[in-house]
Amino acid sequence: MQIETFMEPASDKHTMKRAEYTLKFMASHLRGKAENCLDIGDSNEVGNFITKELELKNYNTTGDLDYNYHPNVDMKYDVVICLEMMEHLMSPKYFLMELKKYLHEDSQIFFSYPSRPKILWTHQHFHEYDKKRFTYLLNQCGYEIIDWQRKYFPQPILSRLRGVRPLLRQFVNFDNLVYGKMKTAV
Amino acid sequence: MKILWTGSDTLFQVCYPPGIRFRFRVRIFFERIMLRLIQPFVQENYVDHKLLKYELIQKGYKNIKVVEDKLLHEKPYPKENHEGFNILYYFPKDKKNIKFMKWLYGYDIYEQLVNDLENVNWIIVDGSYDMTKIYPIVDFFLRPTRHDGASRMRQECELNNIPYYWSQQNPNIKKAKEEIDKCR
Repeated sequence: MQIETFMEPASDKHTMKRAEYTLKFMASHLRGKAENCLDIGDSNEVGNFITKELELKNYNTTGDLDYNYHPNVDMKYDVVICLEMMEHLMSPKYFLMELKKYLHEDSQIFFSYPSRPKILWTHQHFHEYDKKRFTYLLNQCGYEIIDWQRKYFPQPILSRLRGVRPLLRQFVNFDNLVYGKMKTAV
Repeated sequence: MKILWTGSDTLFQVCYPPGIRFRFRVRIFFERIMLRLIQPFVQENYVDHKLLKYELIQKGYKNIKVVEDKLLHEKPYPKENHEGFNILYYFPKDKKNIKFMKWLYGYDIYEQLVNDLENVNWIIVDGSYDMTKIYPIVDFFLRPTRHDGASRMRQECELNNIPYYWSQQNPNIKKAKEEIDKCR
């Protein structure tokens, strides 16, 4: 599965509003010493916008995130951003375990993903987690959650008039922002 | 209009730091409102470090640019021979907000190091000192701040090949000691 095939164009107002919110969330947790950032997936407008605003060097990944992926530059990253991609993965555990290769003990990881009732998932979403399940997944993979925020992002109503399910999504269009770190051995 | 933000300015946007007096807290409150009101007329906000930019982004400010601080001592001074090990520590004179200043500049860490380290000469300066005479005899610069921008003095020390401990945030006495021991 190639994650980039599901990426939506990021230029619309709604996406940029979400990007700005993510930017604020990240800015509240980032330390001034962070230099490089690994944006999971192909280069995209949101990732480029966020890393440019935060004055970080942006790197991306190539390959299948479910099977075999690697960053374009092999090194330990200070910041990793996984924006709107966790829900597209078939094997998130593989992805998270592999990611550890590219982290040092002070690396900061940011996730954003939607969470809605299963009946409203889109066809390309394989996992939309609630807080409990996402915490469990991260703990299992050796990460810990430091901050978690849930925000409601309504889309323009006209874009929702395509059918019943898109309309229902309007009322539960929550986005989760998670800040985590790799667990340190005690 | 352009605004140049210092480290403390951005800190006051994010929180009311510990140790400030009530009158100062009120002043910060009104400053926050005023800075918000004038933002539509501000072309660019200048900060000297990424961390300060992050704090302003967090509070919804836009058009923020990181610029390098202009150093007061742009050339390195030749080292002078001296006796003992000299550690430089900066602590500004501000009697009104002494508690806040002590918190900000990690005065507790300095005090603990004074007790723990033997055979060390401490040079404590504020903004009024002539640094041209001080930099040549400094062996180490201690700056255990709890919030800081790029720190002009740190950059000057770097220029003068003076090793330093600079925390920017969350100072760690153990790390500071390690850094000092490396240079002794």
